[in-house]
Amino acid sequence: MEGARFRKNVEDFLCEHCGADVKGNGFTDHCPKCLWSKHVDIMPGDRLSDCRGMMKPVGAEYDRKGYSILYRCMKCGMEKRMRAAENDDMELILSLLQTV
Amino acid sequence: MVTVNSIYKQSFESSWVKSLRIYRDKGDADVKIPQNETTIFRSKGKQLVFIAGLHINERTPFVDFIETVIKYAKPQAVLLEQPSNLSKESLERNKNSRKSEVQYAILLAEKHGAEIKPMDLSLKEEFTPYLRHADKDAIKAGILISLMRHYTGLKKYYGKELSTFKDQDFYDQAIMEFIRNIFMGWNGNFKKAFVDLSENYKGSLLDRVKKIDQEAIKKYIGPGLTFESAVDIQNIQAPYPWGKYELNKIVSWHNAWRNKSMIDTCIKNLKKHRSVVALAGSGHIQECRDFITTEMKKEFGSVEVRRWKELGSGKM
Repeated sequence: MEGARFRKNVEDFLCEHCGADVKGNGFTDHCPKCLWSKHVDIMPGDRLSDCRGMMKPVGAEYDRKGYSILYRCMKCGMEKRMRAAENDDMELILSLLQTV
Repeated sequence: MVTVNSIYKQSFESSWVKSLRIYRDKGDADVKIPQNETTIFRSKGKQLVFIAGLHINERTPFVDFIETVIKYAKPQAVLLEQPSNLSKESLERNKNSRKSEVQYAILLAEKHGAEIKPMDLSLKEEFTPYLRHADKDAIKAGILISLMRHYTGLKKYYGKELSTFKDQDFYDQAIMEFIRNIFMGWNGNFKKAFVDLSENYKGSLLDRVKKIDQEAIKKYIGPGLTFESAVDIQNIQAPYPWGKYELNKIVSWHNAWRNKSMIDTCIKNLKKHRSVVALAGSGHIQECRDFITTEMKKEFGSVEVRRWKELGSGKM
């Protein structure tokens, strides 16, 4: 279910971190290969942020709805959480979880 | 050849990471993945990935970790911490409940075309050393350990409502049958009887065992501990080799015997297959790592041993 302020944008893009050719589905907000993202939104999908910094995946969480990836913008330092997608690299997500 | 005694000795030297024994009630963000202890052994085209397992009771990221390892290893066989006499049919019957790591591993092994095999001791094998070497009270203690290990989550059976005896004759009969099975061979009757019992009856049954084995408990667990604390799942199951009570030694020896079965089964399957994945509680790989390395070296030549986390991303 899309939130009231969510704007769906179907965009393909080249990952600026690993160079992967990413096919968007309207919800794609990070590269499924390397999990890096880009700070382009203020609200999900609005593309209104001026920062445009690369966002590094710095952690992951798991709850009953599935995985979330925690991001930190390498330019402005903003942190945010995004839901993982089905085609994300599971090994990378697991490596972001706390390990023992 | 690896011996039970050498593994037993090793158990005194290995560190027991208690925190890895996680029986989770809920999935949450704090879940840990045992990537440091999970170990890859490679030798002359043979590969064994031994997963340091977590004991789970619902779906957690550990299930995804198991699948990640299986995708990486592409095993022909997945070995599970299950009794060696457990039939494939028994394993199959349980797979759809999807609760424990074993059940998930069965589904994942099938999904990726690997054969599933048990690698732990059968109950009869577990008790052979007791019957040969232990005195009467140690055997009683061993029976209790087995009862706890195979059939109970303990704490949930020790609620207030569990003290009522509704069918004394049945309990007496079931206990006698259980003990007979231990001594004369396991035939599954007790298991069936136990599984069919209501929760109240199971608790009462354990309470009955508690009463008949008070003396063994006193001797092997020692003074100053209550029965309840002694049969707490961590006390009864974990092989605390540094413990000062006789039961610690028994449990450690018992664990060494199980480890030997796991090591032997790994080697046997590596002779047959190119790639094998083994899944057992994390303590087992800590205790078995050096022995698996030694045995693989004897069988196949030089061995490369690496931890999962060392492989880094991009291993796929």
